[in-house]
Amino acid sequence: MADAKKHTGRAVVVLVGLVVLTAPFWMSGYPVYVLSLVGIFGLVAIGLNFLTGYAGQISLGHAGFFAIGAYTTALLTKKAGLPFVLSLPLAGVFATAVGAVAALPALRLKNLYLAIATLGFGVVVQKLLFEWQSLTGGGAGLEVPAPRLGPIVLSTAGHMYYLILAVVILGTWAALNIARTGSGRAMVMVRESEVAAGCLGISVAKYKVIAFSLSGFYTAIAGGLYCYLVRYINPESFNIHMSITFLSMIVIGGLGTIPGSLLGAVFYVLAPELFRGIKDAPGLVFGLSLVVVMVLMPKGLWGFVGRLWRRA
Amino acid sequence: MFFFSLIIGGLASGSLYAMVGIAIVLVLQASDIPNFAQGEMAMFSTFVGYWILQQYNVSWWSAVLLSLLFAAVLGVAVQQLVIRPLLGRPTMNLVIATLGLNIVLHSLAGMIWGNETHIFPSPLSDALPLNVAGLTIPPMNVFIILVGVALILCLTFIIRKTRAGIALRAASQNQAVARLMGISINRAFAVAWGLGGLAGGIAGVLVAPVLFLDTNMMGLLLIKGFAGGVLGGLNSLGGVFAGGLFLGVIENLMGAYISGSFGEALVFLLIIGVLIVAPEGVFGRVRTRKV
Amino acid sequence: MRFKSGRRFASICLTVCATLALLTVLGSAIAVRNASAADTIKVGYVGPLSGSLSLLGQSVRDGILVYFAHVNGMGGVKGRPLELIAEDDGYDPMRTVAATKKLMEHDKIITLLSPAGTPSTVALLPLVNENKLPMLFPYAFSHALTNPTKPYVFTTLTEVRVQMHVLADYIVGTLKQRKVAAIYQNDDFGHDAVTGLEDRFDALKIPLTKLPFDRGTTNFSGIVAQARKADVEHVVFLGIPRDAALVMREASNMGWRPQFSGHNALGDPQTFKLAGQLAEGAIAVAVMEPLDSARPQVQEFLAHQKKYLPKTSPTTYSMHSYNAAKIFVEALSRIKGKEITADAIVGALDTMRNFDTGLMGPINFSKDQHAGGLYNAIVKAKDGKWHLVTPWTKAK
Repeated sequence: MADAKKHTGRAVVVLVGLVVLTAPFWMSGYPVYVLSLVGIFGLVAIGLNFLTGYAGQISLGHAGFFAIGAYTTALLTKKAGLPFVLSLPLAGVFATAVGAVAALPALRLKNLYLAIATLGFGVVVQKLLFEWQSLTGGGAGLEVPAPRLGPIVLSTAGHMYYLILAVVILGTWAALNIARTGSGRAMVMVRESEVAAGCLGISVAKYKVIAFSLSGFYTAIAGGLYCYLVRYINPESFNIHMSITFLSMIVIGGLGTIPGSLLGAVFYVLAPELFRGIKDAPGLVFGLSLVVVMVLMPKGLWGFVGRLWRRA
Repeated sequence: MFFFSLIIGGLASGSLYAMVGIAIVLVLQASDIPNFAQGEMAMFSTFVGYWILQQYNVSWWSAVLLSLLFAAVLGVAVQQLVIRPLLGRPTMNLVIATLGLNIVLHSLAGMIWGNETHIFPSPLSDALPLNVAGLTIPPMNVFIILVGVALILCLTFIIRKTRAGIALRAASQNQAVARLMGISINRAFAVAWGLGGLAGGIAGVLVAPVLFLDTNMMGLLLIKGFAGGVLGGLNSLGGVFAGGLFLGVIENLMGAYISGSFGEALVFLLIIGVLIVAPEGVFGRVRTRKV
Repeated sequence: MRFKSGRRFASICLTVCATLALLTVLGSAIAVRNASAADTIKVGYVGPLSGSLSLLGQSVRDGILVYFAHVNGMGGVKGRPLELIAEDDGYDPMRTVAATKKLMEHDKIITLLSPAGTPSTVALLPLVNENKLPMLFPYAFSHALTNPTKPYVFTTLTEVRVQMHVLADYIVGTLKQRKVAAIYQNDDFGHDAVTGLEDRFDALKIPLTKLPFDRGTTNFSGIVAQARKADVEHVVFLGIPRDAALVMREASNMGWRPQFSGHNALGDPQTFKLAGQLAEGAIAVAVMEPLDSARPQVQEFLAHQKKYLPKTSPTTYSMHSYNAAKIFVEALSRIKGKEITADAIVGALDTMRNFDTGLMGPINFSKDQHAGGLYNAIVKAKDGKWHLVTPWTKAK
């Protein structure tokens, strides 16, 4: 029985791999665009998951990191003419630094206090981007040129899809490895019991900072990819609703798990697409789906999939 | 003169944040769950009151009382249908569930009552502004503050002195032991959420005459309510109330004296600053826990 | 250990694939349904159908629906019915782009009609130009829409900067007031409006007190107090009628009654509904006839909205989009031949001169001028209605 399961599993993997790898060739532009968004949000989810899922620190301000990533990448490309292999990582590094600094006030805060403080972070970033018109274009937004690397220009939906896919694969692999290392386990300890962690010699402060920085890095890279995908960014988009969306994604998908992060992103991007047709009530159905998922699936979508798999 | 009008105006706006804060903290203290649907629940019950007022020829007080009754029932219903099945699950799950509920109620209200803005009457609608030492004070907001204080006193009395209230405190402190003492956790939480719903409903019917009634009435107030609560300290009703009032005042002061366009961001920076020094709010007592 | 992470990865792929398959199946099902109605002229709309500006988004959509229902009732255009496919963007430019992409590729719309939202429509400019999609008569005020002229973008709503030029001229020239404050939404729209005011005031060396507020805020007491302290005699309000009413109330509570004015959104019955007596005497820039106008086409619009969408109320928003739909249908009917293409529509519009819909000043487009709403007037609030107090004049 287990053998049959293994074989079916492998066959499905191959099939899925083929689908994902060849999508732009047989899907039209809009579904490819939607899948690209899934990839981007997936990266955000993985990053935020380190902070909230593993280290247990709630953040209602991650739209701020997303915005930092988007604007840094956009400006480095537009004003400094950097290729994407430089602009994206640089944006990530900058966000990591910001994350480390932002973590400092947050070290002593918990729960709702931390939530409001991170909310404040998101608001400050959004306002800064809006007010600093000379740099960011302010409320008029910023047009972003296509990403390039030497003579290669990624100008089509298909190009962006593969770039995003590559980054997502790389990011997932890296995340899986980090989760397994001492850092990953230390973060989990911080979530479970700060006191116990302290007793074990784990520097709680250090790992909180690492969690913030790491999540900032992933989210910023996602932000950079996003600005390349939509080619126009405006501070309006990076608001508290976006932050709440990010948080909901990882909880729905399965808090504390990497596959859950990706599933959450899939749900969040695809569910509104499925509900589009419902006249006058897409919001209603979406809200209901959140409640239903939480009531029926305590460990999120990934936990549910896991339960099905085990029962099969 | 200008300075004082900023203070008065700030207290007036802050009174709205404070009222919402009470509803949030009541449920938070009793069941340890932040209810992100509180704003829309209040909006919904206020619309019910408005609808009753429009459709049936009843007095304003009757309509309001009915809407408050609806609010309390809604609170209990939410607790029974959404919160109770999720007891024992991680808090994040509950938060997301209430967020989903928030969206549901908002959409539902829009579908039932439309998106237009309406005037919600109140007995104080035609009252002239009070004139104290050259400053004009809006009577409605004074009333709101008075109601808020009265509500806090009532709720504190209920929680401290009545059986139901003591059961509530026991249930929130230690569920296992409370059960052993014969307290029905379910009943205690139902009471808490019913009271929270009621407080939210009161906030709704007080906010509506000031801000006009529409489906977006409570949207930003929920966040301000939380922010004010955090500033004041989530441990006590009085702290939350004071925090809300204070938030309104510093909004005005920051906007007028430092920067109009950056005002909102500065307010949050101030809150973060306060939290660095006092991680549980200005009036919050740092809770010591046995490990 | 390597096997374990491989298995995890497999599970990830499994779920992604399953959902993709589901989406593809659903997508094809929807596509099949759309294909069957191949004869209809498909028009797209995107705007904030949800969120704090839902009244704007829904009302603009409703205006189009009303006019389309009217035209379809008379047999459609060239015998073909008009179909509106509306998408929600929640006033988020990112969603606007996504929704428009979907409308273009999936629903194969021929035109995007009257999309609502200033930052949202600006976000669409690269997309519509690249894909040669006509974006007609948005409910948006941005300078960028027609400066420089974009081949596929046409507007009828005078941009807020120009509206503010008209208002500033009236304030200084006719009202002879020189102490002015602007209370405005702290976003792109508000900033654009203030730029318009400053264009005139700076030239005349008149100082302007600038008081921004965050969209959605409930606390206006601070800025009204600041306006009063600055001893202004005139307050220009730039935002939605609801917030205008709140500001008027705050001022009244303080025992202060400056002259109020605003852009065209202020000149709406909603202002009276919410501010009541406090709105008396306020002025606004008019781009279209007031809803209380006696002109027959305005009455016809009101009657049509009552007939086709009785549960909704006519607003300046729905009148704008009704007007937009009217011009669009006129352009369609001017196309020679059976085939309706984007370029044919643009061609018909580029040659439109002095077309009078009866709802606003005559529309003029040319290849280099796509801002059709060149006539403005000032309306004043009197006895619960908005009345024209100046003739329709061409803005400079």
